[in-house]
Amino acid sequence: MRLVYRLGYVLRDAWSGLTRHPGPNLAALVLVGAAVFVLACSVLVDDALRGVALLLESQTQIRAFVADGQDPQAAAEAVAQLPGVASVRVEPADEALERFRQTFPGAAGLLAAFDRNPFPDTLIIEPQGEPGPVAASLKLHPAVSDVIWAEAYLPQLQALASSLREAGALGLTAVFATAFLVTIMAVHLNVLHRRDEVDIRLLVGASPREVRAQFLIEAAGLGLLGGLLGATAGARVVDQALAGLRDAVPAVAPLLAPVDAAQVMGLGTLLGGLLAASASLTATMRAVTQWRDFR
Amino acid sequence: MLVLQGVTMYYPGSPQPVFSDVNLRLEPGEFVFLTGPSGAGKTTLLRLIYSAARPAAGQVLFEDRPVASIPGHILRRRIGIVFQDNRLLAHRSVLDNVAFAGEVLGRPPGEVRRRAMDLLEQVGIADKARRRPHTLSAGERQRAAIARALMNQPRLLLADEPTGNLDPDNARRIFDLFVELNRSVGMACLVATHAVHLAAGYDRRMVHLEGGRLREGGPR
Repeated sequence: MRLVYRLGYVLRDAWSGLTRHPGPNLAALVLVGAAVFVLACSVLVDDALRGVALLLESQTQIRAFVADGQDPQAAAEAVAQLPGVASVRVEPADEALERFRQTFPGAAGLLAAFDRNPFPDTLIIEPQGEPGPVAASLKLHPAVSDVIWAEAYLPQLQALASSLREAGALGLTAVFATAFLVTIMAVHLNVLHRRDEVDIRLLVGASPREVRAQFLIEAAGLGLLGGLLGATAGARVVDQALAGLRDAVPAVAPLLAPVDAAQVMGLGTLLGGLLAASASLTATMRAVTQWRDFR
Repeated sequence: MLVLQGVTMYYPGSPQPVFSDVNLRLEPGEFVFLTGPSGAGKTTLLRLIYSAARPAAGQVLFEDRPVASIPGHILRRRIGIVFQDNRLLAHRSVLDNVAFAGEVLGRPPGEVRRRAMDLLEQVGIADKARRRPHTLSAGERQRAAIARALMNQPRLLLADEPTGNLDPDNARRIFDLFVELNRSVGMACLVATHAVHLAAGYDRRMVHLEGGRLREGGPR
């Protein structure tokens, strides 16, 4: 029963503490919200750009033209046996011609100059790893007349994709660390502001754990609310920015992952609560271990 | 109830002890004035009792247990402490300040409020229960602090210069209150004061701390 009374008191007093010190609590709320906002934006942008990075990495396909007089299916089966080849697909000459017509509808006159389909049957090869050795083997294969792959720019594309991922991870780490420190400062300010109250609690017999629990509950409440507000704002801002980007550059639209607002808000709220709670435990450590007795 | 055995204490960095080989025994319900000039070490002696400091030598026993072995918060639930600076919480009413001491320990809210009101009655400021501390006189604030110290029914009440901020009339009323509470409530009291002449007016035991030594009786 005593525990129920104590819990009731702690919750009442937590609410009272939140409403009685609007300045420091509002500052803590804003700081937690801002930290989660920046974090949410970083995560969402990173998530959205992952599609771009994947696209860059997918530019490793090799196209091999089937030599005149060779059977495309037999050539595909032979190429599939080469080391480093993951898969082979045949693109018949007619399909290539049709794709050209659809892509360049104004070039009908150009095609009329040929008395037959100028496109050869093509093998589209997905390598398992590095495309360079596979392309070299294909160039020597008797069923292949020519090989096209992103020899000139593939290393740069791969480096760019790798940089995007590394920058995203580094940015997230930096933002998370900053959010944690900022939240510690906010809670610490709150504790300093209420130092007399802490001392009197200890004076009348509250244990250090009980004093810390009080601040922990208040901080967690603030953190949950700040996290929800920050994540909601972050999801909204990134969603708007991506919508603008899709309108401005329609070609990238399929590559940009949509924002899952509910998930972001849920995770942001939880993160805000955890951030503030862990910051509270750190910030109150000193206050309860260095009791002042009003000498 | 309270025993100090051969207690010696130094200030940090000082080779000279504040006091040495101090012995003191307080029986349950006993009232003792601890007198001495400012800087004699009265506050330091009280801090040893409520475990805010540790002696360099000797030991302090409370209810037959070394205070060093009692968790600080448990000890402070059994010892009421009143300071010169009453340190009431400005945002709470006088009643809430007194009740705070009981609520923090998880006692039933109704019981806590009733007891807080009774205590305010006892210290003579029940009519000020709803007021904020800053609207009270210095003497009334000190009475509220005394009521708060009594909230958890301590076995020992320590007061460190409780009349330091009061004029002589108010100081005498506060001492009267301590004596009356000691008689009616029955807890032991150790009241530190430099107002020797005031303490001498009461028929109560006095111990005097000066020059690093504690002796029975007032100053010579």
